[in-house]
Formats: sequence, C-alpha cells, structure tokens
Amino acid sequence: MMVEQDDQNIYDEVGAAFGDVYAHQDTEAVVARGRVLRRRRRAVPAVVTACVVAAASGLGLTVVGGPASHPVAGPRVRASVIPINVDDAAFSVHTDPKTGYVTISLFRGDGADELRKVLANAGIASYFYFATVAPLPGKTFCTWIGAKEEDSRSAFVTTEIEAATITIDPSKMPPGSALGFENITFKTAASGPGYSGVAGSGKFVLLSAEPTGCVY
Amino acid sequence: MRGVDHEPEEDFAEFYRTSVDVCLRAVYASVGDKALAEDLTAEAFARAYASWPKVSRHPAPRAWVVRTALNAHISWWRRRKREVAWDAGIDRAVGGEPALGLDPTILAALRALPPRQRQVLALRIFLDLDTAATASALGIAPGTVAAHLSRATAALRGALASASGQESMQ
Repeated sequence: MMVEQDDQNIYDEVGAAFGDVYAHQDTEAVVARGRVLRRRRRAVPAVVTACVVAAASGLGLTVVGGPASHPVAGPRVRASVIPINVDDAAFSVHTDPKTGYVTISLFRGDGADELRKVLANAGIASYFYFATVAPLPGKTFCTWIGAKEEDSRSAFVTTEIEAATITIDPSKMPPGSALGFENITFKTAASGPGYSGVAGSGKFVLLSAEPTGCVY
Repeated sequence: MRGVDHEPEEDFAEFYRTSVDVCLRAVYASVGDKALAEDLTAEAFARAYASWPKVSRHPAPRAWVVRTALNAHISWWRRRKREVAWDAGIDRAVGGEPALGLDPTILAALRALPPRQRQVLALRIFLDLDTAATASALGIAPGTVAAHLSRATAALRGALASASGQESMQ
C-alpha cells in the first residue's frame, strides 16, 4: 500500500488521537467467557456423535444379528433419538465445574419466574423485573424496593452483549445479596436532554438483599 | 509468540496483553462508540481464546480479532440493545459518550465516514495492514480497499482542514 507522506501525517494524527484509549477488561474475564464459548462448541459435536453412534448401533443389530436371530430382543440402544430442541427456551444456566462460575442467559422475559426458582435452588437469590411504561423525564431505570445496588465488580465476571447473558461468581456475592435484572420498555421514545430517543433500559445489578419489587 | 514453548494460556494472555489496546482502538474508530467497541473487542478476544489453536496460527491474529468484533452476530437482543440504555446508562444508546480525551473533531470526522471506509482506515492506522491484508481481513477485493482508503483519507483530510481553518479564523 503506497502511502503518501501527507496521508501518513493524517493517519498519525488520527492514531495519536486514540492514544489514550485503553481496554479495562482483564484477561481473566475474557478467558472465562472464552471457556464458556469453547465448552458450548464442544457440546454440539458431542451430541451429534452420540446420535450417530446410537443410530449406527441400531443399524448394526438389524444387519448383523437380524430380526430373525433375535425375534424378541429389541435394540440395546435406541434406534431413534428424540431430537432435543432448545430454541424456544426462555433461559439457560450453566455452572463451570472448575471455577464455580454460573452463566445465565435470558432469551425471553416470560421464563423469569422459573429461572428465579432454578437459581434459588442453587442458593442464588434473584429478581427479574420487566415493565412497559411511559417514560418519565430523566428517569431511565426503576428503583428497587427493599434493596440497594451494590458494587458488582467482584461478583460479576463478565456480561455478553449478544444476548442478555451474565457470568457471576456466586462465592463473591455477599451473604443475603441477590442478582437483579431489569428490562424496561418505554411506550414512546423518551425525549429530553441526554436520553432523547431511548426506547427502554436494561441492566444486571447486584443487590444488597432480595428485593420485593422495582418501581419506575 | 508462536512456536515458543509456552503454555496456551500464557500464550493467549501475552497476545491479549500486547494486542487488546490497538484492537480496541481499531474497533472504536470503526464503530464510533467506545462502550460498544469495548464489548465487541472483549467478545472477539473471548472467541479468539475459544479458537486459540487456530487463531494463534493465523497470519494476522489481531486482524482476526478486529474482523470478528466487527462481524459480531447481531441477535434480536442486541438489535434491541442498540435502542436502549444498557448497563452503563444512556450514553451508549444515544451515541453521545463524552469520549474522554478524544479529539471531537477527529471523532466527528470518522463518524461522518461510511462504515466500510472507517473499517479500512482503522485497519490501516491501528494494525498497519497493507492492502492485501486489509482485503483479506474484511473479505473484500484489494481494489475496493484501495478505493475506500483513498476516499476516506480525502474526506478526513478535508474535514480536518476545515476544522483547522475554522479554528484559525476564531
């Protein structure tokens, strides 16, 4: 790429303008997220392999043994594997056996009650708040009832932008604290200085206690 | 980095440490939103870790990360997220983050460029990729890269000259 000196000066000026931009996420958080991705990717071929082995085993029984040789014996492995589809799941929860980190993904809002029970069984208190409201000037988030937001930096390992996904370290959650999630949709786009055009809000928070609600 | 007798984890950590800032700057310059760029870059590095045996042998692993960040799949939730205030508040949603320390003239000039021109420019400036490497990274023809870079540079020169002229008049 031939670059004129004049062009290079412009590139240098632009490059220098970004000289103070630094990443703040540490390697540990990125690696934790990378492990989740790697585990998910490995899980898919494992399921496919299991299906192939099961189908092949069923076929082998038919060809080698033949139905006449074993008139009453059924296949020892299910010849047909019932497909498992999780596309419609409202959420997923996975625990990393090595780190104890728990990764929670929300795909829809209507499974929040069930998700809350699942997490409660694992000892993680939580509250999920979904609402559609008329926007109030300057108010973007709801206010938690019976709990206040805490510093989540040690307990929240990473969040994912492609889905409402969070990885938490339950051992770093203070006793009595809870995971909170709020998702507010504005009936009309908010207007006003600083948040014009905002159509809603959402975030994960670490709460001091299990709240009784959230009001907008 | 490659071919050295390192543990993969250490190898990746070293790659992350030496590359994350320049990759973030390239993504930031491409998308024009710092918070979004941080998320995209972190996600791309996580994917690099997940595919480290492949990425570590890539001829331009930093370009792989930047391309992955720019190609990050847009799920329905993320499409929605673009319209909402998310986690860090309203700045991200309205694209008006203070861009601490960043020259507003340069940021405005970059934002005025079409996305592909911004990407070509970012790879040239921050990763020092030549035409062929940029074409490979973005999956476009080398001639297209050259054209985009030429137009982007001309537009940037004009914007910066204009801003400089206004300053001198004041």
